[in-house]
Amino acid sequence: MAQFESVQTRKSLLTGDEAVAHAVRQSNVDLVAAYPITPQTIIVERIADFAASGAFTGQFVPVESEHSAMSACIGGALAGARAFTATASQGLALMHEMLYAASGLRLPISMAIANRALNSPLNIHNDHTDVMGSIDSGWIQLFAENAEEAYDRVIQSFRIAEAVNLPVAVNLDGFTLTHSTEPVEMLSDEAVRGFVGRPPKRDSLMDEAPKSFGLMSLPDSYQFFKEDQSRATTGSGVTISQVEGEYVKLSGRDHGALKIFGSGSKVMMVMLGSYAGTARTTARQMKNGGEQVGVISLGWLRPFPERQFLDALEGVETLMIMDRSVSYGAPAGPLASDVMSLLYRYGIKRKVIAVTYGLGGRGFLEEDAMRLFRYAEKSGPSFESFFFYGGE
Amino acid sequence: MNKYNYKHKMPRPERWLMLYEIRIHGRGGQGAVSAGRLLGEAASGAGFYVQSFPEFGAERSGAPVTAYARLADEPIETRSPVNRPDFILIIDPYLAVNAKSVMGLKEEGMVISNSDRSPESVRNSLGVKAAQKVASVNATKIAVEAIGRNNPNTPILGAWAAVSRVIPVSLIIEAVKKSFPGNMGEANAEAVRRGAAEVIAN
Repeated sequence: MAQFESVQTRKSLLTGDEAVAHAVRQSNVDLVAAYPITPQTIIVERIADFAASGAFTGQFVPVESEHSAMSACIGGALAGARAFTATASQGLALMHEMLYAASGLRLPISMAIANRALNSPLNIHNDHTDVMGSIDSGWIQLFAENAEEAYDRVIQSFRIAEAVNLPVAVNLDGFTLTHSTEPVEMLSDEAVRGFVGRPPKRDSLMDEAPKSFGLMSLPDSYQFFKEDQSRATTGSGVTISQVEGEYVKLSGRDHGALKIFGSGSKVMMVMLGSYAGTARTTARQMKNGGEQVGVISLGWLRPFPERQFLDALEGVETLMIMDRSVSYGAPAGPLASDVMSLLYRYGIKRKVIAVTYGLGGRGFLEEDAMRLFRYAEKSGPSFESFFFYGGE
Repeated sequence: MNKYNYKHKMPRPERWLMLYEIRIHGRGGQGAVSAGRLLGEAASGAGFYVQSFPEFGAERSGAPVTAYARLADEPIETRSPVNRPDFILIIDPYLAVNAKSVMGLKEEGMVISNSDRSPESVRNSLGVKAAQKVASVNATKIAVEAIGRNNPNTPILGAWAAVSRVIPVSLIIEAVKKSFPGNMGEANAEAVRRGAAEVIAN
């Protein structure tokens, strides 16, 4: 469908997938290697359209699998190219082996993940099972709440990846973002090109002097590499903030490490991704009625924004942490486990309620947010601290 | 915690000075999802913040499809489907006899249906209350005559704009022309005009 621009808001109406495709088209990307999978498909289709019409001037490689997509991106990045791919669900799972190669080789590759459930049973709908399965693969993991944020974060991802020599994934919720149409204020092609520039020069397969990459490392050195990689990831927050700060000057839009609504409220719902908007809409209405509820929406998960998160806990009594994936047999969901270990490490005590919800596209309505807020407000000493919500 | 046992009534969403919520019922292939998007694009031209999305995963040819749109004067953050619509647009005439189609319609809400029957007849078969409004238009006939195929979505949008008066019909025509290139744009624009002219409200 043709693009339509509103004069009043200066915004284009785009789906999340289309917004990502435009961000890639504008970002001086040299290589896109991708394999289509629902709900990421529109990203690949649009980039293929752009490549066919000449709007995208890099190489578009329609590979035969996601494993090959990431392999091609790794090869491209090793040759000095700015590389991008997009995937979801089974595709990310098939790519898994190469995710570690990308991060271990310290390659600046960008990827969009259109979050979707994993088999079995077969389900094409949204949850965070795919990304949580790869959360320890050494990629920076950013999350978008809406189409515009997905667009912004994809543009920023190239700068971040090239500054810290780590691959960056931008997560956008399958269907609720990928297939919903909403206003996106795109920047001009010139503005984005100026912002992302060209990738800085690095050791490359194309160098005149021959070089080897991806060599074997024995027990004397392997842990050194991993420690180095871990430090780089933890420390990348400073660079991400710098890039975001520069982007604010360009766009006026500041997404940051996390968004806080209702700072200092007694009950805070901690969320990842698009449903934070539903929770915030509900919290706003409840706040008007005098209830002390708020929402912390995480924009970064790796690196975990520790300082920003701890700063947000002033005056908060209860954290209700919302996970859209399961860590089978674990004490809580992956996000809740992250938060609890952070609290414990800094000796900070808060009541924590870990909720698993929204699996395989299970809806999360304003009514649901309200019931959960009320549960967190009223729950006494014998509260249920870890449960599935909405799974009947 | 039982999801279906709602104990809490939602308070009025006071933060919106203006919010229109719209639900569209059709069948896969008739353009219900496109109608939501076109409606959003047209309303965006009137300065509304908009959001439109389909009921995900149901887009199979011939299967019932639901799409949603919200128009507001502030950015829209919620991702909930529209359960209490101000307007219900029924694109498939055979869904205009199914009371499920009008579930949750607001007290003073309005149904705009594709039907060759009178609004009274549609009202009776759907069980719509007296305070709620019903409009009908033979969108299938208009689509076949104006476009040459059974895509009754654009005449329904014209009818909605004409009877709801939320946005001018001209903006729907503009959105349709931008979305469909060349002759298809003209044909659909004509379908919108006829939908607006031929709709009967009660």
